[in-house]
Amino acid sequence: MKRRLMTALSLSVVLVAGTAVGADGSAPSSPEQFAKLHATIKRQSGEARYLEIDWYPSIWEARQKAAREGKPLFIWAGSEGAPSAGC
Amino acid sequence: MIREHFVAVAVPTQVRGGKSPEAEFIRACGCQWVTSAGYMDVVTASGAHLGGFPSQKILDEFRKLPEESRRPNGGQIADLKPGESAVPTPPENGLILRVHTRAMARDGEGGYRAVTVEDYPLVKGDVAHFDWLKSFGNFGPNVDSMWLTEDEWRALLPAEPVTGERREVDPAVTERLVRFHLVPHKMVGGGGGWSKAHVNKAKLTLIVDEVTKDRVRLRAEGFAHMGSTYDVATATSPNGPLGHGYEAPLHGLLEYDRAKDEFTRFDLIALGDIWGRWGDANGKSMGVERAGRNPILIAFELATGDSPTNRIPPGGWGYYLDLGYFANRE
Repeated sequence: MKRRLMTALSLSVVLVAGTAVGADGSAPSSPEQFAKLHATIKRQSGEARYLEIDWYPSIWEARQKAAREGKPLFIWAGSEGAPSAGC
Repeated sequence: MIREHFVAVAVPTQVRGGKSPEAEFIRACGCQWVTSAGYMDVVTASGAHLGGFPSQKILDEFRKLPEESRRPNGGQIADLKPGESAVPTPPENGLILRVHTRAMARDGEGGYRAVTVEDYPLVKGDVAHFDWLKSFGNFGPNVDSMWLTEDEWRALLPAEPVTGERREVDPAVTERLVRFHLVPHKMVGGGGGWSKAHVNKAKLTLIVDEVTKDRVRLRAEGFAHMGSTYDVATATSPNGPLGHGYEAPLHGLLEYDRAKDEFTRFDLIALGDIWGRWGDANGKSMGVERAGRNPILIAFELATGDSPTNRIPPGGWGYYLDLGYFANRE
């Protein structure tokens, strides 16, 4: 099931490649290099698009919102925690 | 379509158990969460089960339902009583950090690059299999949250900061960071974290870099080592004898806004290497395993905006809290 969502929502990604800083674990030599490396680790545009969705952590809170707005509730359940937390 | 026409909720399957109103609602909906696998269900707020993955067909069926089914009780559903929610909420006035984990490779020129199928011998050049693993997020990006209480984040700041001052982060906070958030296994679903016994070294120091009337800038440096000690002779694959180990130099840049009385930047990176066997349920090597030591990088940042996703608890639900997340117990 998870794969289905991942596949449906994922796009191929071109990661920021060749991040020529810190590959030996040493500190990036400038704030700019630090920021570049930090950004490289994070989700890239178009990647793991399920993370673009606002996921409620509580069934009840989501149910209240669904009732107020007249929308269906989409529940994604994972075995070791909420899937959007990385199960 | 999901963002516009559905209300999405991500929960642990354990929510279905017990006697809470949330558990009773899930069971009454007919959500069949039997095994430990992931499940998807579309239901109405009144509890009617409409199907699995969201689709236009399901949406059309929903719109044909009577008003009372779509908006029960005129859209008003009473709040839960205190303590009834199955999922804990963030500490009041606490700090939420988003934690991103990603597998990388070295580019041979001193930098990092994205991983490819060639980096994973056990995948044997099978691009379809690599993409299949990737679709599960097995190489990242994995996203989790770290929580700090108000007392904890305030304690990161010296009362009278002086440029050059160094102070060690509360060992309990550092231990939480390394045990529950420097966890490469989260990418393959094994998010239980490291036990206290696995932590060989965990140190994080904040250095005051700049003090002005408006802000305090801090630099972070540290080191963490969990699990086995790297040994090139035994860090073999597949099914090598060396257990998992991970060590990471930590670097960070933090900024505190004195007028707002809040951190406006909390960027931290763990430039870590992992080694040893990635064991599956039977202890056999997983496809994500590589011989030797290889980079798994982890980045922390402040959660921004008011997305409810920011409130998903560390590890996805409350069990981290039972493992000593705040209490720093065994």
